[in-house]
Amino acid sequence: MPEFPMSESPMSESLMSEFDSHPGAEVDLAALFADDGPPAHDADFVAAVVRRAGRQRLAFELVWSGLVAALSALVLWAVGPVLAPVVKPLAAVFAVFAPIGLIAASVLFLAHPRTAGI
Amino acid sequence: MLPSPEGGCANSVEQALVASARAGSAAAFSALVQRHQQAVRAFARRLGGDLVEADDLAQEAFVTAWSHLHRFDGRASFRAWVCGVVYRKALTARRGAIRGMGRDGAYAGSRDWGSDGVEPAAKTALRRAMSALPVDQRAAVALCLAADFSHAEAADALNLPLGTVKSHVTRGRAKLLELMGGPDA
Repeated sequence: MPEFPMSESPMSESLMSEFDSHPGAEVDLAALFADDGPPAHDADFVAAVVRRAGRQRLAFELVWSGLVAALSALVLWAVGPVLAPVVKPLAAVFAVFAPIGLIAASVLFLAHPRTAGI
Repeated sequence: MLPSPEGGCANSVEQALVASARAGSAAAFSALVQRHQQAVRAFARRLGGDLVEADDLAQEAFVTAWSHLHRFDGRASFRAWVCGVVYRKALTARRGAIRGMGRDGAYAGSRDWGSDGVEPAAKTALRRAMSALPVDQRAAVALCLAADFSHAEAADALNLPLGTVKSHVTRGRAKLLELMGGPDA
């Protein structure tokens, strides 16, 4: 594969009109291009795209939820002593279990047959 | 030639589908993919690489399109917008691949259009000729000559000036014919 050089600057109008005076050339190319595409209906492709998109969206939501949980735990842990002596132990428990929950959810997510692979 | 899903009624249906997909409807997104997969995959294939890579690129582009649907302003068609995503992803992937292959030049000539069997000689020649075009010229040719995009639509999709797209198409067509030994060579 060549190094994908970008093309040169736009050509002059006169040169373009010179090429445009050969309409037959485009018809030939169009005929060659005509039927080399993929099928008009491909349920497998569509399903693969939707699955992949769903998986990505789920991963995003999982990470987002994990971040929110971690931040909440941090805030609770920080303000716990100020609010009440009862809150801090609860926050500590939450701070321990939130990451564990996140890891468990990630493992389940990756192992689940609907999201593992395409 | 790939069918163009443009037109008044088709446009309003498409707008409704985009709005639903934007609101999170997987069914609407699925319908959009179904409507445009042929054009987008064909474009990815014509940009180069083998068929599997091209389909993977097209899938990636659709997924990106869904997650960035809020950026789609409806100025261009959805098809053109997704083709633009394909183009930018292909450019990024190739830059990475070229860097990754190092200095030994092994990458050059290592990839070609996929061919899954016997193919008419003219089509093989066309594929090879397309591979020889610079990537931006190839993209413009693939959109305007092979997929019925207008120059303006292709300019929107590729994020290039209209005049540049016109000259890419004209030069690309001439180069293709020259490489294929056509009448304008």
